[in-house]
Amino acid sequence: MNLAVFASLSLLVAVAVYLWCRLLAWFDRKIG
Amino acid sequence: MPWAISFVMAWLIFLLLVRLPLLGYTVWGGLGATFFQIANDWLMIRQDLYHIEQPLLPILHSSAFFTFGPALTMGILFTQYLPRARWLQAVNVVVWAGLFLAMETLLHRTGVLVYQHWNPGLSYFLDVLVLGFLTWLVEDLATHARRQDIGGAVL
Repeated sequence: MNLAVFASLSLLVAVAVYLWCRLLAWFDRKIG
Repeated sequence: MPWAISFVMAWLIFLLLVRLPLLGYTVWGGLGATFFQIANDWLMIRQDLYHIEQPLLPILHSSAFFTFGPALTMGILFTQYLPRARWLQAVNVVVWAGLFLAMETLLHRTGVLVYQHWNPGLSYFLDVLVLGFLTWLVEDLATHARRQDIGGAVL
């Protein structure tokens, strides 16, 4: 896997982390 | 280079998500994650289960870019966003372990993480155990941080 592909897919994982944290915060407030 | 890229990505997402006022409590979650990562990699690499290439800045057979990138920042975010409900904490561990595995798979595919007697299933299993233990360790820190976040009210 070349570096450009690696960087793009890493960014995708980073976006997934971002979305998961946002979703978690929202859901925790909702059920809290 | 992939280790440096993972460092940059981790800090980018950290800066977008971090709640600065909570850092005093939750930085300990990050330091805990850092300790687990260094200790785990040191033990596993010593046993020839896997090894890393091109660390750029080696730290106990691992890469400092990973230790002070994804391990530190994601440990802090993990603590800051720890949910209150037990079942949601379990889901959280399963999802975070999947995200770490995704990152690890990318590092493996680029050739900077070489499996000798290792496989992704073992990584996932270990991540679930470590993150489960980290959840237990940082729960009080997360509670203190939440109280601070809402001005001292008890949840």
